[in-house]
Amino acid sequence: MKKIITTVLALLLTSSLYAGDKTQQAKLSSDMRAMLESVVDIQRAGFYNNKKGIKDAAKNLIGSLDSLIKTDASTYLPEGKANAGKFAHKRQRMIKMYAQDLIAAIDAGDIDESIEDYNQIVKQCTSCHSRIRNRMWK
Amino acid sequence: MDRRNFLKIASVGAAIAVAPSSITGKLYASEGALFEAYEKVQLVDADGNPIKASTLKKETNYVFNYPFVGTPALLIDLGEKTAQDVTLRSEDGEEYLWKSGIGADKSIVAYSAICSHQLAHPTPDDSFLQYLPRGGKTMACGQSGVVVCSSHLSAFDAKRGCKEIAGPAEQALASIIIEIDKDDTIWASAVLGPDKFHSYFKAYKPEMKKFYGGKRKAKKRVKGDVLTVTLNEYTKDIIQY
Repeated sequence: MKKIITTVLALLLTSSLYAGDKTQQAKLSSDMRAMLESVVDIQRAGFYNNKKGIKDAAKNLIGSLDSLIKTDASTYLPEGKANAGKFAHKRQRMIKMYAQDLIAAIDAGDIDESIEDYNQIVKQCTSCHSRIRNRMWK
Repeated sequence: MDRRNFLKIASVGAAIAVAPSSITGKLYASEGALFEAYEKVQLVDADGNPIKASTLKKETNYVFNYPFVGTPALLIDLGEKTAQDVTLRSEDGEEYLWKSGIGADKSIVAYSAICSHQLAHPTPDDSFLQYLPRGGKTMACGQSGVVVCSSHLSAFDAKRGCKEIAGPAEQALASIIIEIDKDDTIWASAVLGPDKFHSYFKAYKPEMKKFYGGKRKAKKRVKGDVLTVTLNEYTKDIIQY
């Protein structure tokens, strides 16, 4: 009886850990998609001179970053790349910084600065993806 | 670049290494600036006392901001003699000569701590770029005694003008021209090689706000004394892959 209980408890623990990991992965994937959408929205709003749209998209981008920044990156980075966790977190913090600056630049009516912030956001994304996916863009 | 131009730059490099303070203003290579003289400044510790060359800890990363308030540079006593007369090439194909380390053992070097690939650099929050002492390990290459940028795993040969030896970087780190006075004090006076300062200030404007109170303040040239501390004192988190 003792053995059965132990086995059942072990199975429950394993499955809950697995489910937790899956949930986290799903949340992270969803955040990544939200980030991509926000970046596309910033560009779209920029093309149509929609300042509010740019700011909303930048805020959405910041919102989608937070769970990534707070999560241990080794739990979602691919095998063999988990040690790049601090690098990934740094890129996320930089995206947040540029998104905040983008909002400030829009408020200040500084179009050049907002374009530069947008460029830097895209650069941080590609910088991380090129490192994590092992395809260096020189 | 033709032979004449290369020789001109080489002789300039040699002159700089011998007597940096005797050169002021800009010297241009055929297709761009590879040397620029800045204010001659003295490296001092946190108490304002001059840093002495003979007291530098071997193979230790020291950081000072030069030539601008917001541009970090590394000072390292490599603990062994560097190579001499190393020909380096910028990503534009311009060649220039890195003369050697300085000091009694020709082992002291200084480089701009801004990666020539994507501008990673030490900040008060973290550092992805630093010297890896001999015997250390890095994912960037099989060599140690190198400066490693752990952002995209570029490595630079600290004994050879920080020439790029691994990873995506396509040119060396810019060299900071330093000299040691008779009283063993250390001075910085110029930058040799293609620097990334313009792109750096453009890219990191929000960061300049955070650490230096704005881009304009960060772009001010360093004058007089410059604080020099170990990397451990400069930053909270050293990231080395």
